[in-house]
Amino acid sequence: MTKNTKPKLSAEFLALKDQTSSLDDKLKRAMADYQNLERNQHQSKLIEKGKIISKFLPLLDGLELTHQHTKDPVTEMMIKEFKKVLNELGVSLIDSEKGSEFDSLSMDCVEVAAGEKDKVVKIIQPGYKLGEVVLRPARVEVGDGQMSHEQL
Amino acid sequence: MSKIIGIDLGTTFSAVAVMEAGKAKIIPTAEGRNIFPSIVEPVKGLVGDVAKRQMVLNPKNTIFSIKRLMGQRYDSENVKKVTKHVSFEVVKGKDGLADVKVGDKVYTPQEISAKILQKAKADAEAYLGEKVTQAVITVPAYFDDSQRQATKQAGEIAGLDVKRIINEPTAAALAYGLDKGKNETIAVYDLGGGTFDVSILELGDGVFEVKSTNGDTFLGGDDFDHRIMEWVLTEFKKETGVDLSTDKQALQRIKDSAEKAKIELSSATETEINQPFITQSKEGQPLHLTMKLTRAKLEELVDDLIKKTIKPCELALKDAKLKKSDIKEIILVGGMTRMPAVQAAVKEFFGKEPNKSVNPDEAVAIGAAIQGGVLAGDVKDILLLDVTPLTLGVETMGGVSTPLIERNTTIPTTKSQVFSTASDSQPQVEINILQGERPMASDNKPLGRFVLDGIAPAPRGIPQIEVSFDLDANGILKVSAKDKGTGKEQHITIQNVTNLSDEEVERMKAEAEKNAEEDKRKKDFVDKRNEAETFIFTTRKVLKDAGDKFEAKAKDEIEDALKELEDEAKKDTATLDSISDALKKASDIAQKHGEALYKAASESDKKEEPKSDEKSEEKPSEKSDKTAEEGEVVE
Repeated sequence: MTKNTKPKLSAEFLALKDQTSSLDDKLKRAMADYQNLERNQHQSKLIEKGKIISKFLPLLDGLELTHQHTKDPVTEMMIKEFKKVLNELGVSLIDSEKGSEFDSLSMDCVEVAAGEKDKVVKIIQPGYKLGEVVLRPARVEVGDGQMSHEQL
Repeated sequence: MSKIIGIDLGTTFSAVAVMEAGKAKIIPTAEGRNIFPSIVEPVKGLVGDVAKRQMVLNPKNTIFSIKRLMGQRYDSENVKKVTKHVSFEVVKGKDGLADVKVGDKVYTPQEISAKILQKAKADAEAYLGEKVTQAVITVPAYFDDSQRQATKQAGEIAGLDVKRIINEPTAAALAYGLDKGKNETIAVYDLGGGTFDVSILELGDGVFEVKSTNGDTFLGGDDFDHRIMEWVLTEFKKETGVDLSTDKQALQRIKDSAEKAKIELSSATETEINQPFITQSKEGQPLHLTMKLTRAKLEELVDDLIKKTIKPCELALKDAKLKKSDIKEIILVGGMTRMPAVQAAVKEFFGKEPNKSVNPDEAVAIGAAIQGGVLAGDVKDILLLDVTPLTLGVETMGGVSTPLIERNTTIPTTKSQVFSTASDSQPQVEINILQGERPMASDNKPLGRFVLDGIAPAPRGIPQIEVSFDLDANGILKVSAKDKGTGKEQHITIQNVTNLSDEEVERMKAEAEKNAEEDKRKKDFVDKRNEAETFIFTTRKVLKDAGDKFEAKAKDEIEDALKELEDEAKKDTATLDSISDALKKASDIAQKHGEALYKAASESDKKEEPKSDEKSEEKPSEKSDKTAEEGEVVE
């Protein structure tokens, strides 16, 4: 009797042990997946928010171009309001002033022009970021290290 | 075991995906995009969008389409063709293979590809919050041994243990879920950024066999862009006499516009190409590029390119010794398959609507992740979680069915809510457990009931009875009720609440739908009557508490109105409107007798209703999904 039950019991024990460790593994995975999901949800919400905001940026570009040409005070007011809303949403302008170092993390070089090497010569289109996420890089003209034509 | 990521190492774009909770998901890049350009600046170590953005500034150092050089001989026709298209230097390397030269340094295509894979790895690690060391990488079905070997080496250089190299069409088929059971023959039409592939696959018992493959290694979205660029250049020259084809900056900008126009014309029928200050005239005047491109014009420009994809389809069928009618499904992969003219051409050739249910940019990476999941053992044994088919709740005051666990909640789950008594010094509550979607208790299926007695004498609404529903993965429902004052507890266990036949579930849902209007009316009536009773109770309490602060006349007037309301609510002939009217009348009179009285009544009202916030604070939840919602009254 004991001879037969012992191996049977230990086989059962081993099977249960296997099952426990596999269940334990599954539980840990499920918990990890859940935690990752929670963590990434924050990030993906930010990304979605950024995508929506990005769609409005060309409108601001349009207003700014209009203002450059017409100097219309109402347009200027609208630009101010627009920027205020962006600011409230956590959007900020990417610092890409003339003379700053070109950085492809936040800038997109669309042209190379005469000027100090690897420095921004001209901002073609301003860039924006949401928190630390670049919504749209600033499109800039970058100096090629040659002297400007006027200086020649 | 750590996760195995799936990487679609593409000619123009790459993507990464991973299995999460049994589902393949695209991993967003650090820049928040689902795919990234396969572009590398090896000196500064820039990859993706960041490398693309400095391409204009740094054309000689910026490597793109490196996949075309993988495992290729320098002298081959392919490499000669590549050299013509790129701005970086291609040189003859070890064993006569093609390498690229940046500055004084020579890089093998494996090293450049490794940088792309490193980015994929880093993005995945950031997303998963853990180290990633294993990957499945996809290659075109026609890749020969040396090209597959080179891809594997690239993975190793990037610090990845490449668990498997799989064919892109196989990955796509996995992403479309075509591996499930069916034995059928499918065609995968993959028109990507730089290459076109068509593959005929035979699926059977989870095994994928590539029967044949064909394609054009130099046909893709890039060519479509070039067509648009050529058209723009020709038109511009016609208009202004200026040839922009040698102006690299202008070409870059035209390329951007061409890409954008092409994408826009997949949904719009007309688009504009605008690039101000593109160049200057011979007289030094600035010139702008403004053109209109219609979808019809685009289709005319690329017509021969689309036609070029049909011949390989014919050849692939021929090699597989199959007829068009043998193909049960055609799946579309690659961003270019979004173009309506491409979809139309595929449909015309195969005589069947192609399947485009999976995002064509992501399908290959998704499939690679699924393969990774299979290898990691994630997929084999997906833990299938069940949902409860019908809502579970309890009966509350007035015969209303109050849901605790809503239909379609994934189980196991636990929900709890705090209720109270309906009358003063009520010694016990009866918990009537119900299943179904109808708002009135009598219309739902009673699962069981029990009584919790020994409630300490207290005014109505004061005792706190916490009712918890715990539904385990096997569909066993444990309901408990606990008097938070005395700590007394009762519970009941009900077997197989999820184990309903489909017909039963459908019947109950259909009934709920059919009776929705009538049920709503009934519930509104009961709600109104409950509201009236609560009003009577609280107002009387206020009157009593206020003592002689109010004139006897005012008191009598209010009491009369309350009595009238009470009688109305009890009548069998009462309707929602009649109670509503009586309630309004009573409440108007009460209000008329002074703001002070009204204020007092409102405060007392607040005191009466147990608030959920207090409840959840009192008992820190052991399980996150435990809820204690607004207090209701148990009859």
